[in-house]
Amino acid sequence: MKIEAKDLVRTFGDYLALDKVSLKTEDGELVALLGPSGSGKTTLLRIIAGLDFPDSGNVVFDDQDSTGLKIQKRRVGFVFQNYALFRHMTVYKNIAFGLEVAPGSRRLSRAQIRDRVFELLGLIQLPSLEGRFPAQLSGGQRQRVALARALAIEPRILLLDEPFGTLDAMVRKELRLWVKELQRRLKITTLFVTHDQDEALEIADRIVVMNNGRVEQIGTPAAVCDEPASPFVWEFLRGHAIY
Amino acid sequence: MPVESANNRSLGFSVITNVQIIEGRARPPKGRPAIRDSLGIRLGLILVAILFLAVFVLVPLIVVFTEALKKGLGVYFASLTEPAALSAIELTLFVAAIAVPANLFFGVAAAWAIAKFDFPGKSLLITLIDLPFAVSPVIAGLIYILIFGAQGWLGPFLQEHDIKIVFAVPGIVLATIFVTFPFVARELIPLMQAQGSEEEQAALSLGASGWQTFWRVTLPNVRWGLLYGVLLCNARAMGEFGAVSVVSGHIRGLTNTIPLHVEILYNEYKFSAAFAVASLLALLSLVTLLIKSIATWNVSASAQLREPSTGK
Repeated sequence: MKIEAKDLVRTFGDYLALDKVSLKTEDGELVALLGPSGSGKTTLLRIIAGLDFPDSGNVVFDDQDSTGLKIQKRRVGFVFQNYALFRHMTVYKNIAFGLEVAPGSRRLSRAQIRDRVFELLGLIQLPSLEGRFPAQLSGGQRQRVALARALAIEPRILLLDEPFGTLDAMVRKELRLWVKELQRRLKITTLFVTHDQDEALEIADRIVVMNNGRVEQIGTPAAVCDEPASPFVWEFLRGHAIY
Repeated sequence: MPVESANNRSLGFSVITNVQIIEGRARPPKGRPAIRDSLGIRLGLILVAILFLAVFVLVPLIVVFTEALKKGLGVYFASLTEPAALSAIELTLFVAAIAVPANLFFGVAAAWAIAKFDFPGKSLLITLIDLPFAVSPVIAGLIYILIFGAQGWLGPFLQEHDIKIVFAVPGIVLATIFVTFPFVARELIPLMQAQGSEEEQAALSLGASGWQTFWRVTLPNVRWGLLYGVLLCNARAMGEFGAVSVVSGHIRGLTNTIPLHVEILYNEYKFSAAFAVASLLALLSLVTLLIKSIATWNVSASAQLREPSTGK
């Protein structure tokens, strides 16, 4: 699905978090929202998810205005920075959650839910951990469970907030390539927030460079590196290269 | 160590620790924590704590039970089964059966609102929740006399319609609800605040409705804190004296709760009977503490590691 943001403005009191932010993604694209902390990238992601609402501007999914659509109706897969796994539920229950709360007419049978959960457990390569609680998993495992939980509802888009932020360097590199490959395979439009230049350059199809609530540049990794559109982009990406 | 001493002069305090670390390496510390008081101080503190608890908690508890059983089991059970005692027990259970669920509901609602949402008047609400703790129970009782009593605001209206609130069961229930209101809310607010609302947001993004999110995510996450709050609320609801004493009217067999019955017996010099009935309340508090310990143990156990269980 295509995502479009049109002139989004969001203020928190006196603070201007988003200042007329616009962007457009293609179907099946992996787009990085890159910028220093406080640049508005997470706010933008939350507004697209429906976790927050803009003061003005529009969110458009596949040419349909969805600005006022409730989060439950958006069918977005959202992965939180700290994963936000349900700590009192097993991995199985976490992944099944979105399927179990679906309204009666759309709810799968228990057997179907079970099949789907195990399919997802296979997809995230944790086939035998369904009985564990989140506290018994490593950071990388939690991250993958959070991803499986988000994918269970067959979301139209995937939104990842600093998906690798709390992992150690080794796991980070491994996991981001894995996420990239998964995204390719599922062909799902994905937006992810990061402050890590290398991460964005390595896996994103396109990068949205943000600063102070504004979009500085949108382009492929090669474009933002070779032809920075502003001194900020040049400065921010200096010393980082595409692999 | 010339570098160290140079640093020591220029940076002062922060480097002093540095030097100690280096000296520590030279003379390895014998496995002990950095902060340690001398044996004498530690023993002294422990002794003071034990003595204090013994004098103020343990001895009175023992006295209650020995006095209660002084004249034998026969007198003990007779004091508990005489009609006035039975009716006091019945009333106490009845009042708690209304006050505790009511405050369970109000407490969860208030805690949820305060922990998860921002709204004008929030700090006022937090202050109001604490009011019953800050105010003397006698005043809590008097409030209801002033509102519902014969000379009170609503007195004439109530008399006209033949509704009795003070010096009757409804007044006791109201006063008990007032006094026990903070327990559940106070227990839940810090817990819910610490947990934040990310899990709820995750539930919503997965398509759950507000109710589903509350029942499946919010409530299960605070269940042990909730249990503890309910236990404390219940213990207080059954044991409340001051506020209930003001609105009760002390009508034997009608508006006497267990604590009021104990007072009457004591004033009539029926010490064994008074202590026998009091021992019920003491037992209640012991059971409360026991369940509370189990709950706390469960919380810390689940915070560390949970036994893997099959995902159904």
